[in-house]
Amino acid sequence: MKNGKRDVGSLSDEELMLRVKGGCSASFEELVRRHRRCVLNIAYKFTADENSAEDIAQEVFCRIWEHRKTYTPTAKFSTFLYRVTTNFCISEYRSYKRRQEVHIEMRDDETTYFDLPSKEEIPYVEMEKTELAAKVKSAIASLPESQRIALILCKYENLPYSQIAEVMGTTVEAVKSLLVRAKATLRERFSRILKEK
Amino acid sequence: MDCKDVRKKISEIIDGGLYENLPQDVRKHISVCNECRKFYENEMLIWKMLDCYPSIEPSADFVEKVMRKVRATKVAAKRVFSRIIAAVGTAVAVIIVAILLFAPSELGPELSVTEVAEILEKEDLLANLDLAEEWEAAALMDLLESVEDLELESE
Repeated sequence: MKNGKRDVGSLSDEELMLRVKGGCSASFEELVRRHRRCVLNIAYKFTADENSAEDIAQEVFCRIWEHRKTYTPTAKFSTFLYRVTTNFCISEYRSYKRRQEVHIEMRDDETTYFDLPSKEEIPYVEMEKTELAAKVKSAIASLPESQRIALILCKYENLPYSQIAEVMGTTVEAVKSLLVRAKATLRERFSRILKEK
Repeated sequence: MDCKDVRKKISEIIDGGLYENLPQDVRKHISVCNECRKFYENEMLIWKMLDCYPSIEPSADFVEKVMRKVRATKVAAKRVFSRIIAAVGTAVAVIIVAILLFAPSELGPELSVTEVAEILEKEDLLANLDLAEEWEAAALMDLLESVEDLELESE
């Protein structure tokens, strides 16, 4: 058993995924171990909510298991993983918004799950350690979905434009444009701080 | 390079996290263009401010929870598979019975289920009976032929 684990640990992500494709749960466990932090933090940056980020990250891995047979070795595992993660974040966010529209009258009693802030009202600000961190958090959360994803992948995952484009199913030029617009919005949000500096 | 090109380049450099290694041409431009220098400083400041967003750590039982869910999925998939097999088996049995009951029969008028069952049970017996009749006919023919031969010889 120990030898088996050591063996799994020395394999690349792509090799592990090929084993997962064949139903190997030990290889899958190793992939979860390697990438849980990354997936969790993408979900966290996207949702701005720690609890929902944990649920989403777990669900992302379950989806990868369910769709393991669709993985092709031509694609980098990380690209596949980022794609599943961002798609799942977006679909969860959209379904949350739909629920929000249906149950609009119940809003006062709901928790902050996907409670993305409007520019005026930021419910989780007081929970943050510093004012600046809270402002950054709310500013990112207020960005449109695609700009938010592009920014998270670029800034926090350090992905090159080409890989972001592959993850988002778009072109490099479109990614650059998304980032320019995201930064313009942030510049607007941080204009007061920038003036002070 | 004009201001538009310089800003595009600055944006790309900052996105790549290389804001402290500006190329010579950009450096030269921002040393004389206040607007572009301001743009560069703001972009760099915003990018650095984003570092304030804290990262979080997964819960201690994260992997365990995922693996539990995966195991549950496996069990559910097996259940679905066995249900499909059972459904297909039932459908095949129903089709066979329907064929036996409603297909045009060489045995005459339509038969009831019990009659079909009885026939199926007796199928081997009937086959043997047919065979026996064939053997008897053949033996009779042989006998007739040998009688005819005897008559011809006596003549």
